[in-house]
Amino acid sequence: MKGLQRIQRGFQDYVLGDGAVAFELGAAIRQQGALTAHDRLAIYHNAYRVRMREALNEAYQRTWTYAGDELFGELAGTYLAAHPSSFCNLRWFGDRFADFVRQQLPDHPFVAELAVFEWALGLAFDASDAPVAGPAAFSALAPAAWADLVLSLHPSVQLLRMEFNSVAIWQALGQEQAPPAPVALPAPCVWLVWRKDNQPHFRSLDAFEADALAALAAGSSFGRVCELSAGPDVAQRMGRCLQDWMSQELLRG
Amino acid sequence: MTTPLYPFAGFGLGLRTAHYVDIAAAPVPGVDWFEILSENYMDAGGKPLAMLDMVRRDYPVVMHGVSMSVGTIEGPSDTYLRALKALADRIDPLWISDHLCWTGTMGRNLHDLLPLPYTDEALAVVVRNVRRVQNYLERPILLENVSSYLSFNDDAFQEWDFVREVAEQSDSLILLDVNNVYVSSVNHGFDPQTYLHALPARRVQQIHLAGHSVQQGIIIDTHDHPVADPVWRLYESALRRFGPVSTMIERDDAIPPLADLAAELQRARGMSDALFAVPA
Repeated sequence: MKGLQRIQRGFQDYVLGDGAVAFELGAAIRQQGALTAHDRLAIYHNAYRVRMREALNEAYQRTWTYAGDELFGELAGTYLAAHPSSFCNLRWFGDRFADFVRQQLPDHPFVAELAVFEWALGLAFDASDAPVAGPAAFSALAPAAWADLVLSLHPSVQLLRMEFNSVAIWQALGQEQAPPAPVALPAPCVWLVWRKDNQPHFRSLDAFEADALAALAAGSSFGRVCELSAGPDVAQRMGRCLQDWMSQELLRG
Repeated sequence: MTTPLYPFAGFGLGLRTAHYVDIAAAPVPGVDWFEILSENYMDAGGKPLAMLDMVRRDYPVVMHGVSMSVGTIEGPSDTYLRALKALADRIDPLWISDHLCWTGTMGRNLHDLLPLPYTDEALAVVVRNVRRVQNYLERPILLENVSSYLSFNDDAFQEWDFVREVAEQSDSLILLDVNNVYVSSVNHGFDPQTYLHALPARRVQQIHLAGHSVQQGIIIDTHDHPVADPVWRLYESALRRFGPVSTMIERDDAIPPLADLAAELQRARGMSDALFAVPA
């Protein structure tokens, strides 16, 4: 390994590590002025932690409020040691944080669910743009062509399976009210998160619509989605869903 | 002094979300252009990109990145360059800049502007990477000098000589951060005038001004204060040496109202006008 690589790997290992300075790195830093080489290195070590924690605080503001400074700070510290960033934008650093919280707090799964919801709203906010399919996109379609039609969802669309009243907790925190006690729902509920008019939106789905959107997301043709749908009046219900998806900008053009 | 490659563009500010509403409402007096953080708009859509398109309709825009990491053997990834170029194709910036530093290696990003050892090896690596980037982007890029809090025993160049050699050997341009020159001059104990005098005037395309924080025994480049008086004095020296240079004020934390930043920018314009404005 050449000198540059050796210095950079040593420097990076130090910044990502627990603060111990390897002899070779310490020896590579010039002694100057009142500060020691270790003092100078520590500026980078500390700034890294401050910066990465700020990114998590910003992305997970309500999870942070809910968990409290101490617990959230602990989770953030462990996360940044376990998942160094490979992203070009610091905004993505928290990508795996919600999963991480789920593993770290197995007895409090509603905290992870809140984090999942918060991250999904952030994703919806600046997900890639795509043309939206409105009614005009399908008006010329022959009735026979519907069965094979594959509808794709807008990049901002996400389906979240929630087992707790995490959305109510999220809403209360946003209004600076005491959040309701976490309770498991009688049955899991799917929430739709998406972007409309450049703002994140969310709503809960009934099982019919949730299954249909999940099938679309998995790449099923419209005909197949209808086949998979159970219950009375499938055609009418699907027609109403389709109209709603178009008006709500859920479908990619 | 020869004419820089890109024309003088006047005085700009960083585009920050806190100011979107004001910028959309009315023209901002005294602001000729905005500088964006490139990565915030790469592979993204929604409101940020819509706001950028709106700003771009009314103002020229400069693209300033923080993750190109020209100072590592591996250099920027093709994926990164592709996204950067796609954004440039979309908004047609005045120019594209990043930093003379490294930000991480082996696929990691520490999201910091890390100091390079000023060695022949590092110079060769940076020059090779910058040439590749410029070929890909089909234009010369600007590289900014960073603040640093340490230096390496291996250094074979002074920082200003390294900055000059990178620019000359890769045929790139310089984004001179006057605050960073000042910060490093205090942290490393050199005369900032020596720095300015070492740089080739024709390659100094843009100037950054920013505030810093004085902490125990060291100055940190925090971008959370107004531009400090010694930095203004150094800016005037830079103008005398380099002629009119497109200038912007960076503010990333404790962001004041847009009007306050525009007023601060007016001071830069006033200093430049006092030196170079042609009497009517």
